[in-house]
Amino acid sequence: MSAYSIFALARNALSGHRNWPRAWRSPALCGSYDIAIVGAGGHGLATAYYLARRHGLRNILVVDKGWIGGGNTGRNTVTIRANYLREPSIRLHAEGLRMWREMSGELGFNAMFSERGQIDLIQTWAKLRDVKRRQSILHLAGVPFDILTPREAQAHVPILDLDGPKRLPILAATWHPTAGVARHDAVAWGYARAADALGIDIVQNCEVTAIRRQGGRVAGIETTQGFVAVPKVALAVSAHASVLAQTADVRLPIETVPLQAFVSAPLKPMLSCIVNCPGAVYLSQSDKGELVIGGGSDPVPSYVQRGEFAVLERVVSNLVELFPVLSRVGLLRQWAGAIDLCHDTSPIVSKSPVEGLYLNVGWGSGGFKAIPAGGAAFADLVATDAPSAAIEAFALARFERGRPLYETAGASNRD
Amino acid sequence: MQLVPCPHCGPREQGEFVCLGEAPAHPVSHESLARHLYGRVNAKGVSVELWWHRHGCRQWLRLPRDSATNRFAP
Repeated sequence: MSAYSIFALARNALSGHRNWPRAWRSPALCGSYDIAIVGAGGHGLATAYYLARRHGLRNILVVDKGWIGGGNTGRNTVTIRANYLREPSIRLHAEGLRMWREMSGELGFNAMFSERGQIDLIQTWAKLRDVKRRQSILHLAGVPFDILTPREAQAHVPILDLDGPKRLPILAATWHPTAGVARHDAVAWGYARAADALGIDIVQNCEVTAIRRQGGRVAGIETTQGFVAVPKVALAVSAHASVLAQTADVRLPIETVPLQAFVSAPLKPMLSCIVNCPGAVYLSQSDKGELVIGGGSDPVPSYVQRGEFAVLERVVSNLVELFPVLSRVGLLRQWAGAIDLCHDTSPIVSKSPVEGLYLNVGWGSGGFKAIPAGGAAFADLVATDAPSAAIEAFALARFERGRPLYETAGASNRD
Repeated sequence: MQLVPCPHCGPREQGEFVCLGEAPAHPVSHESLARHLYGRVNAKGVSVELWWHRHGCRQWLRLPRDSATNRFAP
C-alpha cells in the first residue's frame, strides 16, 4: 500500500491524477476462510482491521450484500461522544474518543475527525436530574461534561433563541467538549484500505442468506455466490441482525426501526459545535455548510429506510422553535437508516449460544461513534474467544441474568 | 410472629420478610423466560402486531403488517 502524502499528491498531479492505485482489491470469493465477517460497514471493516493488526490473523473474509459503508455507516449524523450513563458504555466510548483522535494517522487516511464539543439543551426537570447524575458518573470516569446556564450555552451557540416563546423553557445546558464529528465514508474507506493492505478479502455485492449450523456450531455461510466453509462467523449487520441470527436459530432482543436524518441547503459557518436537545432535535454543521439534522427514532418498527413524515414534521418544528433564524432554510435531502434497537438500548458484543457465531449488533442509534472501540473489542472477542473486561457487560446473556443495561443517552431514548 | 427458615441467613424473624403469597410452580428456565420477555422475531416481512387505537375506539387490534414495505396485509 503506497501511503497518501503531499509527495504522492504532487507526483500524481504531474500525471493528471490518472495513475492513483486502487484503494483496495476486488477479490473473488473463496470456498473457505478462518473467519467471515458479515457486513462491510464501519464495524465489520474495523473488526477485520484489528483482527489483522492486533492478532496477526489474515485469512479473513468481509462480505456485504451492498457496497462498503453503504448501510448505516453512510446514513448516520456522525456524532461522536462519550456522555453516556452506564459505566461500561462510558469506558468504551471514552476509549473510542481516544482512538478517533489517532485514527487518521494510524490508517493513513483522513477521517476528518473534528473535536468540536457538544451542547445539550435541557428542557425538563427529569432530564436535568438525569444529566446531573450523568455528570457525576462521567466525572468519576474522567470524561469532561459540565452543566451550563442557558446564557453560557448561547455563548457556544449564538443562533440559539432564548427570548421567544417556547413550549418548554430551556432550564440548563450541558457541555461535552471532547465530542466531535467525522467524515462517515472516510472511516469505512480508511479501515477498508488498511484491512485490504493486510491481506483481508473484502467481497461486495454478495449477500449472506443464511448461517449454516452443524449441531451446536457454525459450519459456514450460504451466500448468493455459493457456500463458504468457515468456523467463525462474526455478525456486524445492524438492521438485519435478527434475520441472519435466526437462520442459526438464535433469537435476539432487537427490533428494527427507522432513524431518520436530513440536511439543509449549505449555509455560511454558523454553528461551531454539535447541539442536541434530547428527544426533540439535534444538529451540527458539515464542512460543506449543510446543517445535518436528526431527531428520535420512528415509533413503528420497519426495515424501510425512509422514515415517516410525522417525525420529520415534529423534529423540524422543534428545530424552528429553538432556532427561529432557520425558519426559512430549505431542506435538501431526507433519508432513514434501519437501526437495530436493542431492548435496553445498549449494544450486544458477545458470543452467541451457537459456537463460532459472534454478535456485534444492537448498536441502535449509536453505532457510528463506536466503530473503532467496538470493532477493536469485537476483534479481541473473535480472536481469543473470551470477552475482554470492556465488553463483558454487553453480553447477550445479560438478559437471562436479569442484568440489562438500560441507557438514557441515545437518540432513540424517550423521556 | 414466626421464624422463617432462610436458606442463606438461617432462621430469621418474620418482620425481615415480605410474604408474596402462594408460589406458582417454577414456570420456566431463565433462558426461556428471557426469550419470552425480550426475544423478538423482528421479521423482515409480514408479522402480526398489536396496535392500540388510542385516539379512536380505544380497542386493541391484532393486525398483520409487512415491515419490508410498511403495508398492512389484507
